[in-house]
Amino acid sequence: MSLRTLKLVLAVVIASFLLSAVYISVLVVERQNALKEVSRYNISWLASQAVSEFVRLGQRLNAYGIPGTGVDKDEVQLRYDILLSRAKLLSDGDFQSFVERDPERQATVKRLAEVLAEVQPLIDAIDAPGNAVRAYTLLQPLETQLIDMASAANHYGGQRVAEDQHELIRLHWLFSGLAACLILTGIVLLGLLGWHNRLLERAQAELRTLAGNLQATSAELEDANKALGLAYKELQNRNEVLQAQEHELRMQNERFDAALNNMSHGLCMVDGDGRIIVFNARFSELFGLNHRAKPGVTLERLTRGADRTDTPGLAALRAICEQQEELIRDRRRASFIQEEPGGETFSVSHQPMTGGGWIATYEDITERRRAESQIAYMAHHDALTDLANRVLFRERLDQALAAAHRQGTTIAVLCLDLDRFKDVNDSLGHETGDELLKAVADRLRSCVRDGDLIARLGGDEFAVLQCTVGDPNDCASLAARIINAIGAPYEVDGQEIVIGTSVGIALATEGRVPPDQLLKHADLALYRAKSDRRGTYRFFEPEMDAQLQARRLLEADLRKALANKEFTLAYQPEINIRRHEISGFEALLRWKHPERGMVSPAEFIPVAEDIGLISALGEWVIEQACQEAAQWPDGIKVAVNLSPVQFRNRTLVETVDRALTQSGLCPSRLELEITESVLLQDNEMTLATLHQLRRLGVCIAMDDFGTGYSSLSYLRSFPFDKIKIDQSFIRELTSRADCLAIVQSITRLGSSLGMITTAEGVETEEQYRHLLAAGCTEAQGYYFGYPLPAQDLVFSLYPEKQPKAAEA
Amino acid sequence: MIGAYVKRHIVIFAVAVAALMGAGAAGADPLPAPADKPILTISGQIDTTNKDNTAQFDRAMLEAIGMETIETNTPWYNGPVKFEGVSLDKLMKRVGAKGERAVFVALNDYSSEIPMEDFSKYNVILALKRNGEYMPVRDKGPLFVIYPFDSKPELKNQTFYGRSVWQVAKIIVK
Repeated sequence: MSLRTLKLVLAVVIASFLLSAVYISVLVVERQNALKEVSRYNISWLASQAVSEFVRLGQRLNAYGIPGTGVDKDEVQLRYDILLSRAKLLSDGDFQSFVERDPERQATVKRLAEVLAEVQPLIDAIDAPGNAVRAYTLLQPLETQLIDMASAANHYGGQRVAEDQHELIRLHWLFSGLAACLILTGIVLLGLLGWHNRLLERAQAELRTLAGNLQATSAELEDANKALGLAYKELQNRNEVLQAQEHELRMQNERFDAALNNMSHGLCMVDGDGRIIVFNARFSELFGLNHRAKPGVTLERLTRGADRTDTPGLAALRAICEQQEELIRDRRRASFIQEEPGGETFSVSHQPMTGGGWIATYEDITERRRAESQIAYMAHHDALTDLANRVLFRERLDQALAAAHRQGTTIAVLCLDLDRFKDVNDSLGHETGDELLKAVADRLRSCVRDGDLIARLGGDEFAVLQCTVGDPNDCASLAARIINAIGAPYEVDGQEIVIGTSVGIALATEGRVPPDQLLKHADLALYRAKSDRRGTYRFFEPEMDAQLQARRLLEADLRKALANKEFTLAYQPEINIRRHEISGFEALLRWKHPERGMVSPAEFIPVAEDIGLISALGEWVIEQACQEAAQWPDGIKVAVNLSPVQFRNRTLVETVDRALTQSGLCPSRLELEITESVLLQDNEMTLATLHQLRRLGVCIAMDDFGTGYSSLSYLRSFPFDKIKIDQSFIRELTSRADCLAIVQSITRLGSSLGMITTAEGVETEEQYRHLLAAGCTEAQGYYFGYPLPAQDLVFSLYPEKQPKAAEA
Repeated sequence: MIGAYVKRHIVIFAVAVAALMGAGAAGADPLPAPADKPILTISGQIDTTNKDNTAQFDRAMLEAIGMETIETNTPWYNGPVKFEGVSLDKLMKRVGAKGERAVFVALNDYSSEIPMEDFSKYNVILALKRNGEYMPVRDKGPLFVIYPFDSKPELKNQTFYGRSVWQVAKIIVK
């Protein structure tokens, strides 16, 4: 059955359902009515009531008049009325239809009405005797008829009930049947609905399957579409990449061409059969190939019959090709340099390629080679004398030492410099000096043997490397020859010049000596020769080296000493001999070496100056002295010695200023002592520094006056506060009259210039008396006090010294 | 003499007590004795009485309670009929009825029991007049219990037809 038919059936069933329901409703109404019928007034009840009331009236009538019954007129009247109302009921409503069914019943009802009407006057006048009996007599005949009618009514009522019951049963069956029909229809409906549902489900399942299929198909289609899209995109990408590659390739080609033809090197690529594949413009230019070179041509054919005079380029290329042959055969990469007899030089870099071919680059390095050798020569030779320079000498020395060590031979280094060469330069000019140096070089060349090397190490220093020394005497004779040769007079620019030389000799006999050390040894020997007697030679001796070592040790210790706090200051009093009081103390540097003990300033100060330590040391001294002096009584000065080296350092003024500020020492209590050597150097700057120091408020003293140049112009150049007379004059003051005269003159000079004069090194009372007599202002020396550490200082004179002074 | 005197005093006392009780319970006026021939006697559980523990009413006393009208179809007459009478609810209150049921007894001794709640629920009247005329005994008078049958379908039922007693003479409150 199709869904459509089923729907039709369903509609029919539902319609019949509705019809049944409507019919049931109608039946229910009908049944209601039937029940109403049942509920109708009961005819038998009416009839029986009529009978009852009829009998009651009869009974009352009979009882009337009989005493003790209690029946009065009113009672009879009431009963009559009641019967009348009952009788009326018999003639209307349902009862009427019951009465009409039978003529006898009609007659009875009619008769009752008539009798009641007849009785009424009797009832009204019931008091009259006999009226009650008469009324009763009139009513009596009707009793039987009424009871008959009641019986008939009862029977009729039963009939009606039976009918109603019958009707009810019919209705019941009808209703039941219809209900059954409804139930049946309901079941059918349920069944049909179930079927309908199943059909719908099936249809839905089919639909779902269909939809699923559709979806799957759609998904497949989508996938296919996607794959297609991807493939298309991929294709596009590849296409783009290809295009980009092509473009790139073209560019690369162009760049490659450009690079190739703009190379400074010639380039040639050859295949396995010796045929040219690629070459650049520079290649054909290098070898003068013009248009002969073409891809496909073999190099062998190209260079065949080349001639060095006509086609030097081709000849060079052939020579290079010959060199390459071995490399081509071995398939190995290499670079080599091909030098042509004409001087042309090519640098070739050969590189084999996969597939049997090779590639080579060619560079014309002719010029470079020339320049390089020129530079190398210049780097190793002295331009003025054309002798080897220090670099070449050092190299050769190295080589010679290595060879000597290998062969067990001896080599010697001779160092020499020219005596008085500086004077020549200064007096006759540099040009003459240079000419002289050239002449010296020539003479040296004439002295040495082949294989020996002469070098100019700088200025007027020369060195000779003697490579084959059989005996030290060889060296000695060479040295003597040199001294003689150089000592002979020169004539430069029409002037006769005489100079001399000294020679230091160092031998490398045993073991391996570092070249620097050998040179140094020769140098030491030279200094020894010079200091002994000029114009001679000296061999190096280990003792010279020991001095050197000692000095090195001292330097090293000195470098550590400041940090290790090995320095202290000792203070020696300066006495104002006129006032017999201590005017100040001179700070003296003391070094307590951890092993050697006290080291003399005369020994370590020059070393400190040499190694550049003097600035730091001088700074420390100033700071220390200021700090300690700040603790002393007011008016007591402190004097500090300054080294010339400190004046070269531009921070001196700053240092002094800082030391004063930090210590809080009044500047006028600080006295700086300088020697005249300070004034020898860079006079203007030194004077400026002195003036700056003076402006700070410190005093400046001229130390060790009387020794050296003792130029009076120094005293003029700067207004010193004090002149310290060198102790050498004081030492011999009492024994030599000239010394006394000098001291007296200086004292006078000082007083006339307004400068204080201080005598140094006063050791005896006699000296002191002389100085007092000479008018000296101050004195200093062991006589008054030894240098003492700051903590041991006494700021007043010993009492025993005072009276003596006073006596004088 | 003495006995009669005492007896009379007891009666007065009893009447006074009854009156007091009635007044106290119902809060109503004491019921006067009927001036005319009584047509209705209410007995049983009532507070207000006027004769021998019963409440007797003549027509005027009933009408004094207040007349109400019901126009309705009935099984007994063809077409709608207008009834006028006393509200049974008011009547019961007038006598201070305390029972749950009232038994209506007709002149012919037919009786029917009616739940007291019917009176207020359906506004039942004790009809005196039909279509403006006092009902005589010959025509279901003098008193007829009438439900307003047309007002509620549920009333058109044998139960209520049965409760509609005519020729009512007595009411016994139980």
